[in-house]
Amino acid sequence: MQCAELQQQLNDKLDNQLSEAECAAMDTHLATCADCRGVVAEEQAFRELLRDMPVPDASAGFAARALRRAAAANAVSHHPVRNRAFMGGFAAALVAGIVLWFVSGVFGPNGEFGTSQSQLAELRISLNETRRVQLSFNAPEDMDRVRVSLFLPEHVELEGYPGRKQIAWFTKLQKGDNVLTLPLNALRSDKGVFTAKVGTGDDAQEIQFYLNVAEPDISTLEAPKSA
Amino acid sequence: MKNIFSIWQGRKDSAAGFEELVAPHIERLYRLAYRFSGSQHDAEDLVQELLVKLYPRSQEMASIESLGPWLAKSLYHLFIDQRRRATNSPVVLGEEYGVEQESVACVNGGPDMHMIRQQQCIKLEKALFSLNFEQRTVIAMHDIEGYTLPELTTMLETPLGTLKSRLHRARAALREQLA
Repeated sequence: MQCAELQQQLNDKLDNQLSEAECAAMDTHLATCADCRGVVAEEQAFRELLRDMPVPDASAGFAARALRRAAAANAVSHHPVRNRAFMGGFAAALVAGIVLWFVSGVFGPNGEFGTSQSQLAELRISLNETRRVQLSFNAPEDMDRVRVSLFLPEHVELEGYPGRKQIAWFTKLQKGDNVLTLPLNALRSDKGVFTAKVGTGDDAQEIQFYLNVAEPDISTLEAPKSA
Repeated sequence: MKNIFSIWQGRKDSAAGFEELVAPHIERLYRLAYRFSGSQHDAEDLVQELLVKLYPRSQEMASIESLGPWLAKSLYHLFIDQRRRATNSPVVLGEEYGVEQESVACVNGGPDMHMIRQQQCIKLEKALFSLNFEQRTVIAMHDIEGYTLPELTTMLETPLGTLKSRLHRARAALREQLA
């Protein structure tokens, strides 16, 4: 084997793509060629550097949390309605700062939406209805880079984002109240948890509520008015 | 009452079965998701969405012999779908798919070696995210995460020859930027 041939086959060798006979021929050449040993060592060092490239750790408890959410997202139709407003809490940097709450006045005159901040609410929407839901965040100061993540249950879509169950973006918050309006489309009858997550870095706050989509009650529908 | 109990028992088994199947793979999936997205948050979001989608498929997953590569393939396709949806969306969602490179460090070797390797790692990570997505994917899955080429032919649905040439070009581009 010549040096050029070895260097041509080097990647195949390191990728375990050579036969035993080809590997043996390469080893024989390497035993007598310092230049090629240098090339091999350099390639191995490069690959080692790639393998050692670190990845920042996932946030604390991510795996367990992700498994819980996967189970919850797929089993909410069987869940009893629980009352819970906040999950977890802001870490120190934000504890004194942002407060989230639902703006109760936006959910219509029937008060379908529970308004207590200490209780998980349930918002009822009629099938095929588009409901504008508003979330309000109060920031203690201007914040340049706050990540907003939405997790939608399968039976509901955010208008303009068909098929997307998870949407995230960065935004700025101004000191004081910041209102996020979400037009939600009810696709089919079901009940599931809607989650909004707001925060910076590892400091994130989650807020959840149930979205209950029901078939319209035909006994209460008004007949269309003539023009 | 018996029926209610049975339903509850079934749900418990389903959750436990899913967790048993998937939990050993989450860390690796997260790492791979980070290699795709370049952001801790996006990587977590991607893995979360994958788990939500796969939860109803526990039975199917239980019958898969090599679940790790199958999960990695699912993650890859989900990421592709997300990119496609983001590209087609009429609304730009800020930096959703931007590379948000974290400050991370290599930890091998003594102090001098540590510094050199750390500098190399930073350069290499920047170089990696400058590759096109196909090249970055094959480097991430093969050279970094250790999936074999035969596994990748199935996972990426790409012929072996194409994968090899992609790897060759990607490594050459990385070396050039490291030089």
